[in-house]
Amino acid sequence: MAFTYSFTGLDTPFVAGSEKAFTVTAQSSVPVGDYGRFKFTFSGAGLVLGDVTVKYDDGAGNFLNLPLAMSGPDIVGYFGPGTGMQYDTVPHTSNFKSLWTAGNAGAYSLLAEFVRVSDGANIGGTQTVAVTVADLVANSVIEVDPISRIEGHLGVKLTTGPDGLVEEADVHGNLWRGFENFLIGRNPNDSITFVQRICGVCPVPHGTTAMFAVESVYGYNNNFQTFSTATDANGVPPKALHIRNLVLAAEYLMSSITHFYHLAAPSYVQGPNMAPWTPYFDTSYYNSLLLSAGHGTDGGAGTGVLPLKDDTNGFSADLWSAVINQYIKALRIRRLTFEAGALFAGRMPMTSTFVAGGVTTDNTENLTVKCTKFRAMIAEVGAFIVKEYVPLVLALGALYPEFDNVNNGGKGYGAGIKKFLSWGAFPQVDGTLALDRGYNPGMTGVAASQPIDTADVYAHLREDCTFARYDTVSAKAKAAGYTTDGNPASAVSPVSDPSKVNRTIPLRGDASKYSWLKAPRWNGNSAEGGPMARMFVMGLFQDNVELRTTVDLSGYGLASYADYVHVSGLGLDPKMVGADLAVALLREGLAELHAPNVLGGVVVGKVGNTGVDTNIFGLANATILAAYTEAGSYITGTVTGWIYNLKGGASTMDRVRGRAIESLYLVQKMLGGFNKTTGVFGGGTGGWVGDLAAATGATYVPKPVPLGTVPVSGFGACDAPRGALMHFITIKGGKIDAYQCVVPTTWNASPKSAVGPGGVMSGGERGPMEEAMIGIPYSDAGASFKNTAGVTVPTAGGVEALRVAQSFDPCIACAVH
Amino acid sequence: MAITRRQFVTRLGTLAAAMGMSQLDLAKVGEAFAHDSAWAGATWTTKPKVVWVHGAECTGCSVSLLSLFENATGKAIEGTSYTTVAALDLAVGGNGGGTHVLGSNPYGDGTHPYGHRTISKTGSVTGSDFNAAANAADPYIIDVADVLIDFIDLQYHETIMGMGSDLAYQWLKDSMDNPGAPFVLIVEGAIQPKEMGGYWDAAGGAGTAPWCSIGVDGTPDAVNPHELSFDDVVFDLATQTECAAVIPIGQCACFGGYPACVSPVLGEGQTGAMGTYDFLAYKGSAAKNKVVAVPGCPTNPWWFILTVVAWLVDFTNGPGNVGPAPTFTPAPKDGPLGILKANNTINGAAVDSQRRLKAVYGQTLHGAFCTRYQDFLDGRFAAKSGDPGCLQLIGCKGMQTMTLCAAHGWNGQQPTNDATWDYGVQAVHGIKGGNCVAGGAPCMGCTEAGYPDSFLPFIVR
Repeated sequence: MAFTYSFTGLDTPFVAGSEKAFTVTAQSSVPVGDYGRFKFTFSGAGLVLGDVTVKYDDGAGNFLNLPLAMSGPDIVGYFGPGTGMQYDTVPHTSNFKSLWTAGNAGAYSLLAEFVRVSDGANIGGTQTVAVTVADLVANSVIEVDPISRIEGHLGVKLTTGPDGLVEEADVHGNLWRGFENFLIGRNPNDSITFVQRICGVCPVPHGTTAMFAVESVYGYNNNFQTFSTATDANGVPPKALHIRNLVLAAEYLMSSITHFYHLAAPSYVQGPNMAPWTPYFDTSYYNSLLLSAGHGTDGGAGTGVLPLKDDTNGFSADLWSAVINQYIKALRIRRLTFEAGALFAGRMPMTSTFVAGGVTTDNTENLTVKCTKFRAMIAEVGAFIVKEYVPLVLALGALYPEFDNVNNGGKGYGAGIKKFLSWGAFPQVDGTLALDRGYNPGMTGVAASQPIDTADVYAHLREDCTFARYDTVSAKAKAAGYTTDGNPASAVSPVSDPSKVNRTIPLRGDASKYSWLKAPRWNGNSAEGGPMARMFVMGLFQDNVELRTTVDLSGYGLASYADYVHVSGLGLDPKMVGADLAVALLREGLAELHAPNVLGGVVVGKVGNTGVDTNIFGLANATILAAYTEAGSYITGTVTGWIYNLKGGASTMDRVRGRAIESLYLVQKMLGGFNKTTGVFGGGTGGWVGDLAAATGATYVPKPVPLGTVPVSGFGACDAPRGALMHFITIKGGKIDAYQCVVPTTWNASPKSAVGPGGVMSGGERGPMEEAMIGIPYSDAGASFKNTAGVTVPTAGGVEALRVAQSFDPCIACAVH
Repeated sequence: MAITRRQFVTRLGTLAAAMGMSQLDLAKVGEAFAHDSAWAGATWTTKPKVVWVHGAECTGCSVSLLSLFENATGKAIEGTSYTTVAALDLAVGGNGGGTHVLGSNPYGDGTHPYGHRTISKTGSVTGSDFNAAANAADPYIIDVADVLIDFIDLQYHETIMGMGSDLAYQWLKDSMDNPGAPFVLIVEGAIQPKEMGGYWDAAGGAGTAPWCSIGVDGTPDAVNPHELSFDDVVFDLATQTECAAVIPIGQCACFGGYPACVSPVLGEGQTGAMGTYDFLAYKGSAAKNKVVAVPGCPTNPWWFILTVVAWLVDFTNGPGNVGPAPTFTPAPKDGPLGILKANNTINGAAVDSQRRLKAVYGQTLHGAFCTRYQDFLDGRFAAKSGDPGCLQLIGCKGMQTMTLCAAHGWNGQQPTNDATWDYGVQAVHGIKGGNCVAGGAPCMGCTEAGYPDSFLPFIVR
């Protein structure tokens, strides 16, 4: 017939969710006198209106929606003046853009024709072109492995849907060592040293838990009984109690600070432009305020320096510099926690001084000097936590809102299972715990937290090995105690009771088993442990309740969180934010500094932002400092509101935030409450350090090892920084007869279970980290690196999955032990 | 790998003396770090390239290394005229005058070719503090940040690096196939050959799936998942000609450590875990001759630094280039410290039977540096935990354990850092180092092969 059509842009697939341009060129061999217009018909299986939208160029570069309608099974649209047009023999090219929605991957056809306006008859011939639509992510199964900047070997297999969001996740631990088995036959006390080698990042909680377990069998405590020495003259002496708590607390601080700055932050903030921070993900992965463009050394060429400071002012040049500065400073801060802890631990990271019945510290030693030194070191750590760690962590949510909870306007990436478990930690002389014990399935505050006692543990704690690489069904497994109820006559099951199992039997080569982690469950429930979990169990986080009121520390003898950071009715209190960080926020236009007198009371900030009229780059260091420290000054702006107006919820950020808030809480337990006027913790004498300095008496009370041939069992429980940690021990003839560890990351990164809440078969749940992966996007935008030959090697992405996984601070050496 | 200027030079005297190398010229120290000279000749044109891989481990040794801290104030080597500042300056290619390393700006003055942060006061290192002035009298210190930024090119370390996910997998895979340039391989964690079944062999535990895998191709192939088994990674990297040295850090990487433990009841190991030297020997690879062991549980950062620095001095001044062309000139020769031979293998005379450098692991904990040595001499022995006195009767292994714990200390409790501090019981020579024994815990023998199984019980309650 008369028309010939040619197309561009239709030879490559449309990717669902991404608008793509195409052109149609039509030329008629003869002039067409009738008034007509172009008709497009999309055909293919299952099309419904809305699957595709088309925009046309109005001739001025504006793309306008082309009305579409269903015509039978097809989607039809018309292009051209409503009254039609006549057509000459000159070729005309029209520009289009089209967007296909997710879920429409497949092959379609586009029919182009020129039809008469009056009756719709074809007056120009037809041509059909194939149209292919692909899902956003070409690979529906992706491995993210290794998950780096965590302890140990962890990966996750993601299954993404057509919208590029994760629909299923298999989290797998990739190492097994066999700790539970090679502990068999050893002296119980030696387990305290052995199990610290389960994990070099959190050895002290393992040592503590093993110590509690051994002590429960020796008779120092009764599992969860918490060292109430007032009622038991033969309990662990108070001096030892304080030393243990201070060493453990020092490690908590180390763990949280290390996690944020050195493990998690590099997934949000591009590191210096040198190894080991290169290669990194493409810049599209990072918030533009936290990119290192123009910064950092070129490790290869050796030119330039790390321009972390604005040389003229002495402050960080921008937010990126401030964060990198904090990264460097945090190396020192985390070291101080070790040096403080080592005063009582002998050395860190692994302490040698913990022993069942006390500590090995000389009972004649005058601890005053050590306590003073400890206080000085932790006070510096505390100042860092108050002024840098907490504000930065809270501000990060403003820069990555997708990873914040929905109550704060985020997308809630990484929310997870929303059922929280804590065994509690830091037993006090009066029998209380500084970190509470409980199970909170509701996010609704402390009232929802269910208390846990010893009987609950034996009744509710089970490990499911359906997808874990352990043999739970053979005759040998049966003999080792893998039964549903501990009765050897019962049918074997993938679910075992860790208090009755005496061997952990590895099984390789079963393809259905995908992880070396077992799947611990609480009455069949998958449960999350860690700082966010503890905050919910303690009621410091509550769903959709502002942190400023939720984090009410007054019940613990401390002022409220709001008092720390807020100048009532005005804004953020500058005394509570590190100056470097504050100036960086001002320079980025994220905050404004109001100084009543300095600079005539003007607002300080970056030129060009609303309400800001002073160029901070032009101000001398001393002037900024004077404005910053002036009495009555305050900071406002979007980020500052984020710092004091945040609401509780479950998300990746809440996990990160929980660590900072818990550190703030804990350091005040160690030293006493922080006075923001004086900048001193506990008046310089309070807290557990003060208690230790005042303590007298022995550091160790001996009790005999049970030597009977009848097995004696018990457990120890202590929340580690990463979550709920429990060790079960059975002693027979003075030696370890059975040992089982149920570890924080075993909970958090567990594989799926087959048995669900209430013992329902086939009602199993995902592990908390698996659940947290659901619904996050998988993006592979342009990551690549240059190898030593200078060849660019493309790689897949997965930084979103890294962020979610890292927010748990997983420890796989722990989890699989 | 990790070499800090101060740690390098401050203990080099000890090292040299222990090796009969008292004539060692500090200029050689500088040479080892003068990137434009020796390293350039070795095609190692920038900072030493390091690939650090983790196997059956707990990351405790990395965590320990991150706590590196040395006070740079005072003499570089006790009893000599070298100040630390002069030595540090030499180490980065200066003339000893200090201009290359000291400054008020802690983030570099731009004059150093590699953009070193200059060695700074405590207050300045904290960066964002306003109290720099108040800390003006604070000592110059070096910490792990100096190592990470200034001295090494840490290409791969899964706990620190920016990479992750498929990016890390592809990078490591590419390095295994085509390292391209000389590098030092650090191994943390024991190696579990996948063909070994351990105790559970007969129970269905055997198989060929890895006990430990450290990465999977991001686009998995169901038939061949491209899983990186740790034993393959170590073997492939160690046997590359570009691999200049293999340095296992910690008990597990050196001797198998805890993963190689054998339960007295079960009587056999769990996974066939073994140390790096044994693994390479088991594989029949000559790469075993490149192994220098740095055991400890965990390893003290200082032992690691000492060992690597000693190796680095010898490598730079001895065998030199181990990679492909260009040909290294001058011709390879034995290293000046006697650690390396011209063919880049470890001189057996420099290491003990456990492949530890004699210079680093040359003295027992028991001795004059032990905080409880006077108790030992006076016959005061602890009978139970918490008692003052020598811990020998409650399980101390200090007499048979070769370690610098007593002489150098831990966690900033180094004898030379602050002589005014008393970290516990006064030592005979007034030198006080933090360690297990100072904390009242008997030495466990954690630097010795056979630990822990051969050193039990740790403590006699």
